[in-house]
Amino acid sequence: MYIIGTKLFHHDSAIFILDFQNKEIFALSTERITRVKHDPSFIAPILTGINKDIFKKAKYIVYNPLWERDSLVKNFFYRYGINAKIEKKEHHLCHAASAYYFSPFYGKPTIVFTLDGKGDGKYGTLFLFNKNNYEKISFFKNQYLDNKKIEFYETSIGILYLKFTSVLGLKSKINEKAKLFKRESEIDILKALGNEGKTEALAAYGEPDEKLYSLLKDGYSVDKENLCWNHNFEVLRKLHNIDFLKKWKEKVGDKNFAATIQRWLEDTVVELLNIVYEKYKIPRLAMAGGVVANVIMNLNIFERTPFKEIYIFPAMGDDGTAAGAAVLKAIELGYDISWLKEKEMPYWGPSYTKEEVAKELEKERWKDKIKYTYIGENWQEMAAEMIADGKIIAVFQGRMEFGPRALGNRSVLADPRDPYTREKLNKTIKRRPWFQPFCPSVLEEERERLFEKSYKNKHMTIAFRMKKEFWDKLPSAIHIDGTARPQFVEEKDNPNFYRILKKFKERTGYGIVVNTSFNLHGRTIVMTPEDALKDFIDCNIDALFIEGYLIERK
Amino acid sequence: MKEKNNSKKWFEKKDFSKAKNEIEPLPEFYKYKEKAETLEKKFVNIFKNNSFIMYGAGGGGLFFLKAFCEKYNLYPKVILDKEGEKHPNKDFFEVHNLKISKPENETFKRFPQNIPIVISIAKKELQEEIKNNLQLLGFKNLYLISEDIFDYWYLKLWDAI
Repeated sequence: MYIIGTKLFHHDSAIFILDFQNKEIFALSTERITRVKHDPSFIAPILTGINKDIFKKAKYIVYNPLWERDSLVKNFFYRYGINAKIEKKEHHLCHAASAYYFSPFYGKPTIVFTLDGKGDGKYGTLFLFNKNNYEKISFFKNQYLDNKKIEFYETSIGILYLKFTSVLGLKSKINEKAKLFKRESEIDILKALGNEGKTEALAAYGEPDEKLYSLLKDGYSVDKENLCWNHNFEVLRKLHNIDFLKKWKEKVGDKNFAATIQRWLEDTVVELLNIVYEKYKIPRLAMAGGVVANVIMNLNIFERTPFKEIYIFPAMGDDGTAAGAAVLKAIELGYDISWLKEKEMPYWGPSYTKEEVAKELEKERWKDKIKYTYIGENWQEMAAEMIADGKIIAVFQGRMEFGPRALGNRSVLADPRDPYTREKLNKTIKRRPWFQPFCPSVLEEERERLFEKSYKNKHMTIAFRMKKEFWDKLPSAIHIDGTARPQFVEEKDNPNFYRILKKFKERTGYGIVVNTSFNLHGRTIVMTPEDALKDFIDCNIDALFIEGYLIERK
Repeated sequence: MKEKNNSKKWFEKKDFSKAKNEIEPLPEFYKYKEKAETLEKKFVNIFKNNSFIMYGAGGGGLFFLKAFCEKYNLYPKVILDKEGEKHPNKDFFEVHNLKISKPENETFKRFPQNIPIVISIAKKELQEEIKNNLQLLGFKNLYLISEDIFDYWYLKLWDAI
C-alpha cells in the first residue's frame, strides 16, 4: 500500500512515496529530471517514469498547497491514468510535518518552526507537535502591500531576503515556463530564487549597516503575545521596493548590504524563538521551509537560544512538503510511521545497478571521450588516495539524495588541506562567486576534535565553528568567518563514503573532505549515469567513480 | 544503512514528450479535453470574422490571452475591466497593443449591441454579475468560460497534460 505526497508544481515540485508494506521511501523532484534548477513545472515528467503499479496500489495522492483548484488537480492526474483518491493539505503544515516526523524527536513534544517565501497565505508557522497530534501556535501572515496584488510585493520575510539577493545581482537562469503570467519585475526577482545562500556567504565579509538594520527592525517587530511578527506596512512598503533597496546597496556596498539582512534575519528569528522557548520550555526544535536553508541563521539558533536539540529536514525547501503531505495522510489513516525516523539519510531517489552503468558506458557516444575500468569493491580506497593526491573526483553511488545537499552519493570530493581547492573546484566545475565557500563531510569521530560546540548533524543543514587551530590546516573546508556547514558521517549512514573518509584520514591525519554536489554550474545534481557522464565530460574533474567503475578522460 | 539498488521498482527516467503520449488517460480526462476544445473551436468560428470584446483583465483574462488569443492569433478590439488602464496586468496586454478600458468608458457604449463579448473572468459569481450588467446595457452575445476550461488552459500552457 502506497501513499503519495506531492508538491504539484511551482518551484521545487516533487513527489514522495511511502511504501508501508516494505517500509520504504521513494522521493524525487522534477528538477532532477529536467535538470532545470528549482523547476516550477508540474510533476508530469516524474509521473511518466513512475512504475504504474504504484499508482494502481496507491490509496491516496495528497498535494499542497491548498489553493490549487480541485478540478485542475483531478484532471491533471486523470491525464496520466491515475485514479487514486486526491486530497490536499496546507503548505506550512506539510513543511512542519516533514520536520517533525523524520526527526529523532517523534514521540516527544517538539516546537516546529517553518519559514519560507510564502504558501497558502503564510510565510511561516509555529506548531507544537507531540506524536501524532499537533496544534498550531501561530502563523506569519503574508499580505500584499498594496491592492494591486503584485507578486513579491508582500510582507514575507523570505521574500524580503530574496529581494536583497536579487538587488545584489545574484541570479540564475530560469525555466521559460516560469515566466508565464509574470511581469518583468517579478521575473527579475524570481531569478534570485535559490541564490539566497550566496547573500548569506557574502554577508560574512561585511558589517551590518546600523541605519538599514534599524529600518528592518522597524518593519518587523516581534509580537510577544501572539508569537509572530507585526508588520509596519509603511516601512515595509519602502523595504520591499526594489529601487529603495538598490539605493541602500549603492550607499552601504554589497558586503554590508548582505551582512545587514543576514544579521537582522538571525536576530529577529532568535528573538522570536527565545520568546517561544520561554512560553513552552520545550528544548526540541524541528524546522523546515526555504529560509531554514540558511545555515548561519540555524547556527545562531543553536548558539543563542535554549533549543539544544535541533533538527532540520534535509529537503527543507518546497520539495520537502511532498513528504509532509504523505505522512499527514498516513497518520490520519492510522498507519504506524515510527519507522520513518530510521530513514535518517535522505537517499530516497533513483539508483542504478552495476549492469545498468555498464550498459551506459558501452554506448558509442562516450567511446572517444572516456576510458573506464571496473575496479570492484575497493574503489573507495583509490578514491581517497586520489583526493589526498590533490585530484578532484566525483562519486556516483546508490540512491540519489532528496533535497538540495549531496551527501556522498552524487558528490564531488576534494582535499580540504589545499588552499587552492576552492579555486580548482570553481575552475573545473562550479563557477561559484569568489565569496561562496565549499563545505566538508567529516567523520563523526572527528567532530569534537575539529569543531567547537556542535551536534551530530548529518545533512549539512547547519553551520558550526571550526576550532581555530585547524583554520590554516583545512583552509578549503571553512568560510572566511571560520564556520563550515559539515555533514558528519557515521559508517551506518553510508559505508562507502565512510570508507573514503576513513582512508583519507589514514593517509592525511584528517577525516574530512570537501564535498560539493555533482553537477556542472547551472545544472541540477546528476541523477542517472548518463547525466553523470555528460557532466563529467563537460568539466575538468579528474576522475569519476560510478558503482565500482573508474572513469577517466581519454 | 545502504539502500538496495532497486530503482526500477520505483522509477525509470523517460523522454517526457514521448512517454506522455504512451500513457492512456482516464475517460474523464477526454471529456474535459473535449469540452475545452469544443469551446475553442466555437470561439475561433465566431471571432475569426467578427470583432469581439474581452471583459476581465485579471487572472482569467491572462489565461484567455495566452491560451486562446495568442494561440489562434485572434485578439479583441478592446479589453474592459473596472480597473481600466491602471490595471496591474496592463503590460501583458500592451505587448499586443491592447488597451484596457473601464466599462463606463464612452467608446465601449458605442460598440454595436450584438458584438460578441467574452467574459474572461474565472470566478463564477463574478461572471454572473457581469453578465447581468452587460445584459442590462443591451449586449446580447455574451460568452462565459467555465472554471474547468480555465484550468485546462492552465495545464496546457504549462505543458503539463
